[in-house]
Amino acid sequence: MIKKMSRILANMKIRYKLSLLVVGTTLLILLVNVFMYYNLNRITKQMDEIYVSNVTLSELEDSLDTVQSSMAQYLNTKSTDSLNDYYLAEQQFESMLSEMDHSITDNQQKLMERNIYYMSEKYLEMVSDTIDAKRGRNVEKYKDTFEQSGKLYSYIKSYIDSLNGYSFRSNTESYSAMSTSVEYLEMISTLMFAVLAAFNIMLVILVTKNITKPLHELSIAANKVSAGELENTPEVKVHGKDEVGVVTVAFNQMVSSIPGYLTRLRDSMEKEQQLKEKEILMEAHLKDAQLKYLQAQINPHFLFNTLNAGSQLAMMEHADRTYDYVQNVAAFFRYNMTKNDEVTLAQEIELVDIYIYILNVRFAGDIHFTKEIEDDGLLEVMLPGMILQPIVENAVNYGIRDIEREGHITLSVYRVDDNVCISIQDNGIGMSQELIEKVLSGEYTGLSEKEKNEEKYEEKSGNNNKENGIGLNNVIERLRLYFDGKNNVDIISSGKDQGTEVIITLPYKE
Amino acid sequence: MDKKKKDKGYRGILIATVVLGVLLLLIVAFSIFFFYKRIAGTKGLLMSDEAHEYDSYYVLITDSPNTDFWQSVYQGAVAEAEKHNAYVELLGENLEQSYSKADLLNIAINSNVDGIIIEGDDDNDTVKLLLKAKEEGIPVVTVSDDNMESKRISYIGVSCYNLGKEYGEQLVKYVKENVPDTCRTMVLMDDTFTSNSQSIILTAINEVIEDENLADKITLSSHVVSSNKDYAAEEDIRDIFVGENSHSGPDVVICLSEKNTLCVYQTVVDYNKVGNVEIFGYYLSPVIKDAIDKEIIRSSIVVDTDQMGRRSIEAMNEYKESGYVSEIYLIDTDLVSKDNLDTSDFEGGDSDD
Repeated sequence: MIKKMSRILANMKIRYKLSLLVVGTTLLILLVNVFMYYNLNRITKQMDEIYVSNVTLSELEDSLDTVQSSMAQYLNTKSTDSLNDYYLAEQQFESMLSEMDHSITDNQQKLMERNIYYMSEKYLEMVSDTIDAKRGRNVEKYKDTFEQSGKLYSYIKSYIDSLNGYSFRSNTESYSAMSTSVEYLEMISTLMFAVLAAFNIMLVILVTKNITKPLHELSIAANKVSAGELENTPEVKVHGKDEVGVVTVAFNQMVSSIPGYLTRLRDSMEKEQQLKEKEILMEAHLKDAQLKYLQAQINPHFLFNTLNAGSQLAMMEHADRTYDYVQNVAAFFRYNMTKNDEVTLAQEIELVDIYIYILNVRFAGDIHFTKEIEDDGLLEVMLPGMILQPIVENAVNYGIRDIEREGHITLSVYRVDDNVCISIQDNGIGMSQELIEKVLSGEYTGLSEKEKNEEKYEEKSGNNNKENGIGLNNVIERLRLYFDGKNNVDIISSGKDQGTEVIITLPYKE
Repeated sequence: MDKKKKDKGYRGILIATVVLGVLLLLIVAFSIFFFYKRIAGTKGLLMSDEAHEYDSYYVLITDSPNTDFWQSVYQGAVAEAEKHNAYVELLGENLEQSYSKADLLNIAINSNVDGIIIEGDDDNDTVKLLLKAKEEGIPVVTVSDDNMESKRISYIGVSCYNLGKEYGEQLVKYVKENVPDTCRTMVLMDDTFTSNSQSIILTAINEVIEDENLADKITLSSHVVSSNKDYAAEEDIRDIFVGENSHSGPDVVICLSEKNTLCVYQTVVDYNKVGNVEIFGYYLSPVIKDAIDKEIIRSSIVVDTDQMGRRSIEAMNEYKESGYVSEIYLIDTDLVSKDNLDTSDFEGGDSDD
């Protein structure tokens, strides 16, 4: 019962709760007041009634006196006025008599009333006889009846007096009973108001608690959340379907969904960070390559201009082969200067052509370079710059330079599925499997030059031939960054003097 | 822990609220009940609505309504009247002014009563009024003492002759046993007795004395004690014992009414005459009973007053129903002395204290 009540109360809207509280307590106070007023009114009314019987009796006695005196007056004076007075008094007395009870009961007062009634009737008869006798000048008769009526008059008066006293006594008893009732009423009303006040206070506390308790719990939880204890905040209990209840439900939902949002945010931030890192790394590698290149080519612009001047000189002297050579050397350096970020495969192959030309001039056509391009469309594939030339340089420097036989380098471009494969194959000294693995994993760059040489199958002949380009490692790394971490480079070597093949696989987009 | 405590507090308030609410309801219910009762009670005091209504209204008129004797008669009458749905009033009792028998009779006649039960006497006014009552169609029953001229419908009471005989026998018995020489005997008449009754009683006593041949030993005198004037009886009786003629005061006093018995008893005690004066009383009130026990009163004649009251109402009722009723109905008498005081249970004799 209590639970049901409190549930109903909890589910009520705050507005209704407050209205109910105010209306309820006010109504209650009003009701108790009305009830008390009603009781008091009843008692007061009864108190008023108490002495009514005495008043009526006194009036009756007065009326009787008037009859008697007006009759006596008439007997004395025989005046019309007194006769009129008598008639009036008689009428009044009669009407009063008619209201009297004349039943026989064991109630003393009623019995007395009855006797008064009958005696008064006789008395009136006798008085009227007296008046008639007086009018008829029957002196003897009116003397006799007057005497008798006088007697009756005194009896009636005595009865009325006795009855008056009797009823006064019992009325006084009633009165004292009534006044004790009033005292009790005072006591009861005081008690009732005290209980009512306590009840109302309790009711107010109850309802306010009912309203504020969930709010309090909610505020505690909110404080915890704001202090950052997201995980430690337990779900706030929902007490009802009022406004606070709705807010609590929403709050609980919010608290439970916040960690999810946070994880998602963290994930996306991490991803972004990774992207940024990658970008920076790529740039760093490029910069590294460029730096190394610049270190290698001291003041390429100067060199460049110098070469231009040399080519013009050769043209003026009609030395066509010299002119071509110088032109090619100039083109080689220009390429290095300009084509950095993205280039087509065609451009890269052009650079390789120039490089081979230069080398062949240097080494009197020792290098036999062959190109096998399956489809010209494949040459449109984009790739980072300075990729093929270092590989070819490697093939020349480490593969075929020191061999006795004729050195061959073959560059093939072909398509495998959705990929474009670029193969640079030499017939040089080849590489051991360990070396291949070291080169591919990038460890090789960490080795000193001496160690590097030791690794080779064959010691380089005396002079310390310093590497003039960027390492294979750099190439592999840049390709990986460019193609989102995919390993695109593979080195194949069948063994000593069996040559080396470097295969670069690029995704082909038509 | 804290939460539990809070929950407990909330529950406590909830329970307190419910308890207070229930208390409030109880107080309201109680006060409704209480005031209803109170008001009903005071209503009863004001004017008894529950007063029983009766068919007939009889009045009992006597000179000495406050004596145990008449109260007992009245009680008997009331008890009997109840059976016939009639109400008997001891007229004058409720009036502040005390009225003479004649006045009361006048009131009764003018109040249209259904019947008058009256202690008979031979006063002229009474007779006149009783005749007037007859004229008005009000039946009259005389009790205790008769009035033959009054045309009453019936007389309920003891036979005066029997009463006198009873007293005579007591007197003779006493004289024979205790008195060696002469014995002055005084019969105290009440003036409520008609002179007729008085002479019958005296005659009866005399008859017994003569039958026993004690006439020379017992000198019988009678004295009528006035009862009309207030307190006259007490004065009268006192004079007998302590007045001028006190030396020739009686040795034996025969009292024919309760009042006289009490007065004589009191005087004898007051003037230290116990043992000198022998009292033959009338009726058995608690005081008389006590006096018999102390042997101050030798014996008392007890009239069945309850029966007297009952009979008077029966006579009224009979008359009302059939128009006829037997003219005389005699009531039994009993003699009470110390010997049978404890064993006897006299109706009406010791009913009320």
